Amino acid sequence: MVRYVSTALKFIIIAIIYVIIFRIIRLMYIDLKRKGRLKEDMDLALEVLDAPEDINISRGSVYPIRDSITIGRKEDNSIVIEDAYVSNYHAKIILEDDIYIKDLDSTNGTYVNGKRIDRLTKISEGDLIEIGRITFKVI
Amino acid sequence: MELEKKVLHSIYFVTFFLFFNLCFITEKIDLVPLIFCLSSIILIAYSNFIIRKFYPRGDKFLFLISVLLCQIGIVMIYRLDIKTKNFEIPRYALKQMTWFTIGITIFMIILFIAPKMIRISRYKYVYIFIALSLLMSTLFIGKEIKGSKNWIVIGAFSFQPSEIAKFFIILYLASALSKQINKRDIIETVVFTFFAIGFLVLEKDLGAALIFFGIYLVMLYIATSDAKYVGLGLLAFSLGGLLSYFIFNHVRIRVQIWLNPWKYKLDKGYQICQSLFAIASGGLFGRGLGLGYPYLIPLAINDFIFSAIAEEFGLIGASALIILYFLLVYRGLRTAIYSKDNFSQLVAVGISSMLAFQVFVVIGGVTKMIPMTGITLPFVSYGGSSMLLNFLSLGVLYKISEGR
Repeated sequence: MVRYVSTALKFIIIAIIYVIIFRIIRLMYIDLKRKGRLKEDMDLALEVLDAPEDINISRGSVYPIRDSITIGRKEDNSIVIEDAYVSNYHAKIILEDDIYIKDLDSTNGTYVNGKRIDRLTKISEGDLIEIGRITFKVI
Repeated sequence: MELEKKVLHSIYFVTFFLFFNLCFITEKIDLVPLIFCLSSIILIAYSNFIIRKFYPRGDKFLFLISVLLCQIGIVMIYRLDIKTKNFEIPRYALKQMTWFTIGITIFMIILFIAPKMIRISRYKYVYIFIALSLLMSTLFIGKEIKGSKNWIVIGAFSFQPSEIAKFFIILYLASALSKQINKRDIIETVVFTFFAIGFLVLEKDLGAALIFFGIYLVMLYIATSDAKYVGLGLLAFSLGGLLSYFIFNHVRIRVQIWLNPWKYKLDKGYQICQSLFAIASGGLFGRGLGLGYPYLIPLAINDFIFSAIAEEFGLIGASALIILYFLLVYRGLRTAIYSKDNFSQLVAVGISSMLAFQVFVVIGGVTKMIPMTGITLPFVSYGGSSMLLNFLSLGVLYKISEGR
């Protein structure tokens, strides 16, 4: 009895496990394809153009914008800038269909292409963003 | 979405067939496995429902693959119970089922209560303190079981602190390496990791030491992207290995058994020889559940469960298991790539590499590719502490994958 049941079931069990593996891989493949397309659409990042020597951010660093991010001096920001001219929660970058930046009532303000912003401002490639003594470029 | 449901249904099917098969392997037909089967399926369905409803953005494969591995494990443990103990109650399978339930509960609790990862990134000294005190505790109040002094026994309950320490070491390394780092910070992590590994070697828990080392190297490399550290680490590893070979007797014995197990086949090498016989007798398709003799391997339910599976499901079944682990680790690393901040990224890398090294060390050990070190196969082996740790890590990984 055991002999027949186990011998038959062994093949069935292994077959189903491989079906599961196959389905998982297929799902991953679909998922990967979608992800790849999404990434091509918006592949923006912030590059540090100018920063003083004495803080934790160095010139040339690149921060990818994968999601909405916050910039500030507190440690739970996405980009932490240890600079006295930067407020605790200084600015927020919002990723919707386009990319926007918003000043979070910071003391020294956020500048886009030299102009101080006071409301949600759309940014695009090539824009310069100044926060405290740091200049970012959208690339 | 549809495909995902299909995967879930196939998992129910395979669980059912596995337990159904178990009903027939004793002389008279036994219905207890069906109770196990039903409770497993209800548990999986319920937790999957909660995940889909409240945390739909996370990586569901992490959960699906792990529960499938757990089911394979419980079935195998049940099967081994039949011959190892008097078969009134499947003692270990029942315990493992309890641990599985507790593990899923912990997974859920992590999802509900865990704060944003970035918020817990600053307590690095707390983490290393917990990790080192867990490791140190066994030196004083630990009990030696199976040749390793890495167990703490409180009443009927025994657990392995080194399992939980692994998790805290990952948190520590992630928080130490996620900031801007200089030489001094790296030296600090080297010192702490050295202490952690040192304790493990003193407790004769070589497998865990190997895994700690692997996790450390991977995380350091990911954080600094400097291949120099990997080279230095490997150099230190060979030096340390050589030194411990000459200093510690138990290391020497392990290596001797590894080089020629047949010479010691009646005493020290008995286990590994039996394991090799079991794997060999499985062949390509295996003997079928209940038809082999995996209970001849000592400790088949924890360290050597892979040989038991290889005997009864053959090379094909064992490869399926390895592929499942591969996919699990792949999903973990993918979570790391898409994570939002350095800390979460490093934690995800740490957890994935922990799983990967653990699987490598166990499967390498039982197939005599590397010297055998006692360690559990994640999600499959019998063991409460490792089940808790694995579901804890899985919860954190899921949380990270949610955050993107």
